[in-house]
Amino acid sequence: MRTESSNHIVDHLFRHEYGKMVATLVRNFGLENIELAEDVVQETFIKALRAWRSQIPKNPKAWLYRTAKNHTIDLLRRKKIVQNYKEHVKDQNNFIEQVETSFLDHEIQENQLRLMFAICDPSIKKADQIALGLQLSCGFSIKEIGQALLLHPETVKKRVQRAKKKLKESKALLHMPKGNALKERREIVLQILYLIFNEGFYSNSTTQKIRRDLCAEAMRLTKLLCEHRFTQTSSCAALMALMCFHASRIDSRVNDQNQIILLQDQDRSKWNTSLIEVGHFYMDQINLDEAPSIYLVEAVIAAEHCKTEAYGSVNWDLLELLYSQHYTITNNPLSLLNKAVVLMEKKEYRYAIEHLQSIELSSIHGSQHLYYAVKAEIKGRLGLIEQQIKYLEMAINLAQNQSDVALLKRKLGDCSL
Amino acid sequence: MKDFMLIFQGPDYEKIGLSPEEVQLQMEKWFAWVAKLQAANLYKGGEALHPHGKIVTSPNVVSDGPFAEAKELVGGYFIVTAQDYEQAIQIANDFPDFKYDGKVQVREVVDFSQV
Repeated sequence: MRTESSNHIVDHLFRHEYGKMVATLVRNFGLENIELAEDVVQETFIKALRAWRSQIPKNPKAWLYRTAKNHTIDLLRRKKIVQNYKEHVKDQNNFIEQVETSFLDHEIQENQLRLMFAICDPSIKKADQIALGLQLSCGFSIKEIGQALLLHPETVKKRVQRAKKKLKESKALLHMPKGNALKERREIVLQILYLIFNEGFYSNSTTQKIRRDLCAEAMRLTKLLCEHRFTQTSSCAALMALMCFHASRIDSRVNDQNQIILLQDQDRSKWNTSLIEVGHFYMDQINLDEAPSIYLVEAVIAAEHCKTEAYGSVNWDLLELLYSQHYTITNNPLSLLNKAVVLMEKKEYRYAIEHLQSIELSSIHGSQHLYYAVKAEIKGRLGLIEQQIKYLEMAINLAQNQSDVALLKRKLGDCSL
Repeated sequence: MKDFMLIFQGPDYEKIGLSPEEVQLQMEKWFAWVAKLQAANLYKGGEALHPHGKIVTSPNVVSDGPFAEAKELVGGYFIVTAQDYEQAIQIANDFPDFKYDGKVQVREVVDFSQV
C-alpha cells in the first residue's frame, strides 16, 4: 500500500546513485581506496534506511549526497586516507573546497564516466571488466550479477576482486585519459556496454526483469557517453541507436512462458515506437564520412527490421549488403550465418548453403546449434524433410540454452506433422 | 484505545551487507507500513536511533555504547494506538525486519489519567 504523498522514492534510486556516489568518493580517495568508497556509500544507505523510516526527506538524492560528503570530509580530516591523496591535493589545508567541487552535479556525472574509463583498463580482462562495471557503475550486488550473467556468485566475486586489485595497484586518482589512451579506452567502454546490453537482450534463462535492468543500465551509461564532449563519437551514437532499436522490441521477444518468439511471429504493435524514434535521433548524429563502426552496421540492420510493417516486406538486398559489410569489419563467422539466412529468405538456397559451408564449425563454438538450425530451415524450404529433421536433431543436441532447445523442439514437432 | 510503544531491536544492518536494491526494497516496506498505519489512524509517531551513544551510570560517569549485542540494540520505536495487546501485536506483525533477525518489543504506555 503506497500513498501518493511522500512515500514514493524513484525506482532504482539507490542502485543508480550507488555508481555515481562510489565514483565521486573514489575521486576523493583515489583508486587504491575503492573499498573505502564502497563502505561509505553502503553506510550512507543504511543511515537512510534508518532515518527515512517514518518520513522521507523532500529531496532524497540531495540527502544521500550531503551525508556522503560530510562523511568524506570527516574521513579526510581525520587523515585516515593514505598519503597518495594528499600529494595530489594542491592546497592541503583547503581540501574541503576540492571535496565540495567533486560533489557538484556536473562533476558527479564526470566522475561516473571517469570511473568507467578506469574500469576499462586494457590490462583487465573483458569478463572482469564487465563484472566490476556492473558492480561499481550499475550498483548490482554480486548475487544479482550472478543471476544476470548466469554465473556462480563465487565466480563473479573472483572476477570483481581480480579487477579491483588491478585498479588498486594503479594507485591513480580518477582522471579522464587523454589522446590515444582516451581513444583506446573509449572503444573498450563501448564494447563493455555493448556486451552488458547483449547479456540483457539475448540471455533467455534469466527473468524478464533482470534482462530489462541490464539493458536499461547499458543504455543509461551509453546515453551519458553520448552527451559528453570527450565521448560523443559516431560509434557511440550508433551504439545508442542500436540499443534503442533492439530495446523497442524487448517486450515482444519472449512470451509469458519465457519462450523466444521469432522476429516473423512478433506482435509488431507491441514494439515501442517512441524508442525507435529516439534511435533515429541518434542515427542523425552519426558522421557518415567516417568509416562505419560495427555498431552502425548493426544499427542499420536493426532499423531495417523495426521499419518494416511485416516480416515479408524486409529489404533483403539491403540486409545482404549489410551482413557482408559486417563480416568485412568483424571477420566473425556468425555474420556469414546471418547472411545465409538472408540469402535463404531471398530464395537463393544454393548460395545460402555455400555460405554455410564456408564456416569453420570450430570457429563458432557455442553457436553451432544455430548453424544446424539454419541448415535445417533451408532443407525444409527445399522440401527435404528428412534432412531437415536430421539437422534439427543435431541442433537440439548442441543447444545449451533451454529456450533455444524449446524453440528447436517446437520446429521439430512441426516437421513430423 | 490505548497507546503502545513498539520498540525495534536489531537488526545489525551494517553486518548484513544489503545491496542497493535490497536497501530500497526494505525502505519501501517501512514506508508502506507507516502509510498503512496512518491511513487507519493508528500511527502516533516514532523515531530511529543512531546505533552509537553514551551510557551514564552515575552523575558524570559516562561510557560509550554500543550497549549490548548489536542484534539486541534498540534501533527505533513507534507509538501506535490499539484496542488491546492483540491489536498491537497485529500491527507489529508487519515489522519489515523480521527476515533480518530483527524483533519488536510491544509495551503498553501507562495512561496516568486512568490510574
